[in-house]
Amino acid sequence: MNLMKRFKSNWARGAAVAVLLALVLTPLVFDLGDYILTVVTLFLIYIILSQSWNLMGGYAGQVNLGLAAYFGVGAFCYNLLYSVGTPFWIAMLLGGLAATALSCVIGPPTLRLREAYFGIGTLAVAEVLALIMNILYPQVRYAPPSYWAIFSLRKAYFISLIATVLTMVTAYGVVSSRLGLILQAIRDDEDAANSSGINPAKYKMRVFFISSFLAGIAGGVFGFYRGVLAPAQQFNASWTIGPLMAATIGGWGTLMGPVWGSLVYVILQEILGRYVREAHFIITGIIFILVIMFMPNGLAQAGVEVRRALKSAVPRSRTPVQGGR
Amino acid sequence: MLEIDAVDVYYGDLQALYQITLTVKDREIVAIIGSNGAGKSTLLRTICGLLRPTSGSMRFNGLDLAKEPVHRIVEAGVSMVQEEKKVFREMSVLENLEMGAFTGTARKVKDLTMRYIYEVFPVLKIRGSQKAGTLSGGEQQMVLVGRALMTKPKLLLIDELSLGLSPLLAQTLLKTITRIHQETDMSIMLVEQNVRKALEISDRGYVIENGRIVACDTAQTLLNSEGIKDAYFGISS
Amino acid sequence: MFAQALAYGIILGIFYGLVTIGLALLFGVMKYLNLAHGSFMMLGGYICFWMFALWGVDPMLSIPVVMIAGFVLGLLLYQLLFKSLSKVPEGRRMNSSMLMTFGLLMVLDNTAIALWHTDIRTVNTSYSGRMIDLIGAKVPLTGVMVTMIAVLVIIALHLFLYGTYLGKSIRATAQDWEAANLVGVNINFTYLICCGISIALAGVAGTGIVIVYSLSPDVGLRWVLFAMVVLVLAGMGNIKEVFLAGLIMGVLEQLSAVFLGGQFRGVASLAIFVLILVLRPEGLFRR
Repeated sequence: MNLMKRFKSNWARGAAVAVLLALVLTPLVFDLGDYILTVVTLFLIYIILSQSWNLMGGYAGQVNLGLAAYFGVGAFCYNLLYSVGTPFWIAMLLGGLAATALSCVIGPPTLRLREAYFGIGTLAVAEVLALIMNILYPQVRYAPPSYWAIFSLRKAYFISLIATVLTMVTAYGVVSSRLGLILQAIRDDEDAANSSGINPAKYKMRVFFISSFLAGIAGGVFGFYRGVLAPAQQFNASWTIGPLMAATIGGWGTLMGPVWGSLVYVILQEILGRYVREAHFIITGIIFILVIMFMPNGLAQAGVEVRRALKSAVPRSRTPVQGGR
Repeated sequence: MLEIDAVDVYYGDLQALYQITLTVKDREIVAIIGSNGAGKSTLLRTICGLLRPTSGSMRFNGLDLAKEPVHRIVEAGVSMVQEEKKVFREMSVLENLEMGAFTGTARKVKDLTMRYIYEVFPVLKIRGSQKAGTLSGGEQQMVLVGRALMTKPKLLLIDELSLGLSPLLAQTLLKTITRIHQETDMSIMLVEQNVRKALEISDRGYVIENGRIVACDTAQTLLNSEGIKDAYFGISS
Repeated sequence: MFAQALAYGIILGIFYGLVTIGLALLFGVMKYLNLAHGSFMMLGGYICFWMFALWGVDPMLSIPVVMIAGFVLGLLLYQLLFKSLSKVPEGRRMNSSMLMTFGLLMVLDNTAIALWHTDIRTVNTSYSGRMIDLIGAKVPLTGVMVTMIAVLVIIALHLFLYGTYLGKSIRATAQDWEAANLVGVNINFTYLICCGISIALAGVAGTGIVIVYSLSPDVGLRWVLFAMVVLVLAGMGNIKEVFLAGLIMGVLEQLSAVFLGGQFRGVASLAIFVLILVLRPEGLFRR
C-alpha cells in the first residue's frame, strides 16, 4: 500500500477517533443535559463490556456466551460491599476480583479444549447463576434516599470515563505485550503454537482473568450508576448479547472495534427502543445475524476488505474453502 | 477422454499449477510423476473438482469439469483413490463398498461389481463386517480401490497408492491395478512416488516439477531417459 | 425411594436423549453447534399447544405435523443461514455457528415472547395427571408416553441411518465429507436434509416438553443447555451414544435431586459438566 494511501486511511481513522473523543469528553466541560449524560455513560459501560468480551473472543478466539455472569457478580459484590460502608472504588475493584474468581470455575476445565466447550461452559455458568439469583433474590431493592443525595449523574459519568480509559489502556497493554503476540500466534495456528512449546491454555487463562475482571468492574460501575440491586436483571442474558453484538459489529480482534460497535449498538438501542419497543430485541438479533453472515469480521475489517477489493488487480483464486459446500 | 488445456490452479494466494496441458485417451494408463510437492496431487484434486482452475479448460468426454460440482463429476465417471486414511472409518468394509455404489448408475450394477471386487481382493469379503478403521494400511488401501471401482468409473485417478505401504504390498497392489485395467475398460491416471514401478505399468507419462509439466512421452522412453534416471531413480527404486 | 428416583431418572434420561439427538446429528455431520436448537423445540411445543388449545388436537396426534413443520424450518435454516457459513474457514466455523445461532436464539425467543407472552402454558388431557405403577415405583403416564415416543424415534432413526442409502450417506458425510463427495454424494443436499431432520427432531422433543412439563418462551435456552451437556457427555460428534449418555445424566440428576432439592437441578447438571471436562473431556464414549 503506497504511502499516500496509508496516510489517507490513517487520517480518516484518526479524524473519526478525534470526533469520538470530542463527543465523549464534552460532558466534562459542558452541561448537555441528563439524557446525553445517561447515553454517554451507558456507551462507556458498553465499551468496557465489549472490550472485555473482545479480549477473549477476538484475541483468544474463545467465545464467552455468559458474560452477564461476570457483570452480574461484579454488580452484586459492589452493591453488597457498598451497602456495608466500603468506599465505592474499593467495592468496585473487589467486584472485579470477584468476577475473576468466578472465571476460575469454568476457565481451567474448558480452556484447554475446543472453543465449543468454553462457549457452552460460560453459557451454563451464566444460566445457573441467573437461576440461583432469581431464587435467592427475586425482589428489586432500591437504594435509600441518602444514596441519591450524594449521587449525581456527572459522578457516574466521570467514574465510567475513568474505568473506560483504564479498560482501553489495559486492552492496549495486553494486545501489544508478549501475551498479545502469543495470543495472535495461537489464534492464527494453534497447532503450530503448541509445537513451539507454548501452552495455549495458560495464556488463554490469563486473558480470561483480565477479561472477567473488566466485566466485573463494568458491573460495579453500573451498580453505582443505577443505585439499585436487581440481581435478576443484572445476570440477564442481554448483558451478554449486547456487548457481544457490539464487539462483533465493530470488529472483533481489533482494539477499536468494540468502541465503534458499542457506539452503533447504543445508538441503535436508543432508536429502536423509542420506536419499535417490543420488537427491538428481535430486530437487533436479525441485524446481528446479518452481520455475521455478510461481514464476519465486523465494520473494522469491512473497511479493510473494501480497500483491498478496490486496489486488487489480480483475480483471486476460485478455489472453494475446505469443509463442504 | 480427458483434455486439460493451459490450466492454472491456486491454493489461496499461492500458484500450484502453471499452464498444465495433458490428455488421457480411452483405455490408457497415464503416469504422473515428479518429486514431492510438485503439484501431482493438486492436479488430481482439480480434475475431480475439489479445486478449481483459474484459467484454461478441462473437459472430460465433453463435460466442462471446471463448472461441475464434485458429485456430478463422479456421476460422469471420474473417481479417485486417495490415501488410506480416507476410508469411512466407522463403517464396515461392506458398507464402505456399498457407499461406493451411491450414484444411480453404479447402484444398478452394485452386486455384479462387488462380486468382481471380491474376486480381485478376497480379503475384503473375509473382513466384510469389520470396521474399516481397524484394518491394516494395505487392507484399507484395498477398500479404497474397491470403493472407487464400485462407482463404475471411466477414469480412475490414483493418488500415491504405494505411500505408506511395504514395497511388497505396493508391488502387489500395482500389479492388481494392471489386472483390473486389463479386465475393465477404464482409463487410469496414476500419481506415484515410485517412478520406476509407475512407468513400468503405464502407457505414457507426464513429469511435473514445481507445478509445470517438464516432460511428456511414452512410458518406455521415459524409463530409458537419462534425465529421468538421474532425477528420480535415486530417490525411489 | 431409590426405585422411584431411578424410574424418574430413566424417563428423564431418555427424554434428554430425545432432546439432544437433533443437536448431535447436526453437529456430528456439519460441525455446527446450533444454540437455537432449544428455541426450535420451543416452537414445536407451541405448535403442539396451539393445535390443542384451538382445535382440541391431542398432543400425540400433533407430532406428525410438528415433525413436518420442523423439517421445513430446518431446510429454511440451512438455506438462509447455515449455507453462508460454509465459506468460513474451518477453524472459525464452530465459533461462527455458535454466534449466529445465539443471535437466532434471541430472535426466536423474543418473537415468541412478543407473540405469545411469557405466560406458562400447559396442556391438560385425559391422561395428564395419571400415574401408573411400574415395578414398585409410581410414574406419570405422560412420562411413559414420551419415553415410548423417544423409543420410536430411536428405532426410526436407526432404520434410516443404517438401512437407507440416504441415511448411510449422512453417516458417511459425517465421517469424511470429502470421501463421501468423491463417491457421488451431493454434500450440499446432504447438509440440507440433515438440518431438516435435526429441527424435526427438535420439534418432537418440544412436543414432549408440552406433554410432560410446561411451555414458555424461555424453555428453549434451558433445554439447549441440558442438551449440550449431554452432547459433551456422549462425546462431541457421536450420534448413537446420545441416548445412553442422556440416560446416565438423567439418572445421576434425579439421584442428586433427591439430596439437593428439585430447584437446584441446574446446578447438578453444571457440576456434572465440569466434572466430565476435568476427568474425561472427550466424553464417555470414544469416537
